[in-house]
Amino acid sequence: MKNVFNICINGIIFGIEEDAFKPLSDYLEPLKAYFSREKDGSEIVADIEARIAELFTERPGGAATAITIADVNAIISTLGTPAAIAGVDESANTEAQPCAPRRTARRLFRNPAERYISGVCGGIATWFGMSPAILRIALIVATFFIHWLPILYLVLWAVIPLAKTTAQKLEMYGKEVNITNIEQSVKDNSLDTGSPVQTFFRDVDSALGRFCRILLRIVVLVIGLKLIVAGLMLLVAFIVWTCLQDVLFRDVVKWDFLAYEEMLRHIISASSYQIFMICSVVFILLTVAACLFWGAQLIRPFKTGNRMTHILLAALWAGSAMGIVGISLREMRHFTNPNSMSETFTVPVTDTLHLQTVSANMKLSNNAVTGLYFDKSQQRFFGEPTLNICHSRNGQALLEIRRRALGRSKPDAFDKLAGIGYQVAINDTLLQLPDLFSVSPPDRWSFQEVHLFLYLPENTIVAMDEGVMAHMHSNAHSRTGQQEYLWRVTDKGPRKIK
Amino acid sequence: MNEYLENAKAQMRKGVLEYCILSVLSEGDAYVSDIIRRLKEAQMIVVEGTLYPLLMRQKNAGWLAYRWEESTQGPPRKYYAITDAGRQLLAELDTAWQDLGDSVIKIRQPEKTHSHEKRI
Repeated sequence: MKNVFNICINGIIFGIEEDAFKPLSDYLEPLKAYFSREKDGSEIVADIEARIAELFTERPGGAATAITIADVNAIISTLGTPAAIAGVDESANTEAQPCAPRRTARRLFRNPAERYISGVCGGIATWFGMSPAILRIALIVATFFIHWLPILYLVLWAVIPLAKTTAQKLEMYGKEVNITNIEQSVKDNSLDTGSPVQTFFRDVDSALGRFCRILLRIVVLVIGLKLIVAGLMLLVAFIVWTCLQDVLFRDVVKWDFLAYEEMLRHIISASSYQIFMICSVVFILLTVAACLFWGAQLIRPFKTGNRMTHILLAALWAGSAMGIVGISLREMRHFTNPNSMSETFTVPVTDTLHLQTVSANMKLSNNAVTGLYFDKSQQRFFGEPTLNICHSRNGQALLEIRRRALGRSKPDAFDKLAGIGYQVAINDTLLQLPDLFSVSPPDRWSFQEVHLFLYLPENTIVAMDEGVMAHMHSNAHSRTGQQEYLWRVTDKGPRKIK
Repeated sequence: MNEYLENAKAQMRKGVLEYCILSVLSEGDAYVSDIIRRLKEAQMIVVEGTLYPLLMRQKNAGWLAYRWEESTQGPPRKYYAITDAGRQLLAELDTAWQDLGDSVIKIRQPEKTHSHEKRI
């Protein structure tokens, strides 16, 4: 009883006995390797294979009986040995120099038989005729001193081709590409096992290999661990964001907290908001799952479910990411055009000007980062104006109220500007400034801003209460219990009076 | 001695093999197997494999062409035919072969030729 392989020659399937397979493959491989150098070489090989298939079919018993080693030998004697077939081409060469084994110049290839990473070192070592181990050690040591060597390595990796065909491998070793060499190398497999190195270097090689593998293993473990930690942290953040933020922050944060997703609802349209939140949740959860999965997989590989599920989940992840980006881009169009508007009021020139806050006196939610206020019961937005005190050069006292807003277009932005509600009252030397401005529509935020510029002549003293101080566009905030703060306007801007 | 003889015979056959292939095809289009059978019958080739590179070379030189013919059993097969350029070459090769034969005969049998001339 013998094992039988199935092989396909010229489109016909034959059964071939186990021990006949290698002789047949040893017969065809050199021919393929030899003719692969020629323009129509593959077609010549195809012709020969077609003939082999024909002869196998014509055997007594035809294609149905398994090919034996005798059949293969019969084929070889009918068609001729590779040397005989190629001999037609090579007769001229061999006659000119019948016995001298010609050595052609070596060509530089990456050596697939001598590779740890890409065969660059193996290839260069083969080219120089030295041991790859020495070159590798030299490279690793040199990397400590010359830091760009790894980049050079990558460039060489890209530039030097890999020796794929038998002919290229022979050229790599500087052997002449003729049918005898090809046949020889196919038979003893010498091109695929690498050049024989001395035992010392072989030991160094394998020790180095072990070291590299251990190093690689450690790197992989660290990456896996980091992925798992990242996944867990993301998961905790997600849980806090979705379920626990009210519970956790109610006591910690003094003001009522306006969360981002709540804010988002008032910035983008309602339908977009729903899809955006779903995409975000899916994206974050899948990212968490992917981090944990790959982290665990790197630390300790395990068997995974079917491929289809993976592809589906990856597609879902990519889809949710695209959803987030898509909605962001779509919604961003509403805020592409800024517009601004200025109003100027005359302020009486006086020695001392009093600034007073008019407080809206509402319980408001605040977003600490954007300085945005929200009245949850009325569903209204409020913004904080800023105050700048400037030196007036022409001796006049002026209050400029500058409003800014973003919109789909300039006119749209202008509508938003008109919707800003902010009124100042000037009563002789008392300026009453509301601490917040309202927007319209009240539950939509379009990044409205109000900036107050107070131009005063030199040496005017400004007295302001604590509320106004908080809005000063200055970092000189101090809350030391004083009721009023006195500032003097100088040519370099306002200065605090001690 | 024997080895040398074999080699010499192989060289001689090799020189005229392309001429023979064209001759076979000049009688009519043929499959590779037909060409091989004719050449084997005439003891022009010992092993078949040598033929395939030659056919490819001749095809590339434009002396012959092939087309694919459907076969009742198995995949389609190449069906070779000689081209006009091939026929022209064949005619020249015919002359060359004639001349070569004459030359060899002239060298091999000088007395015969001489006596022939004397007889006239």
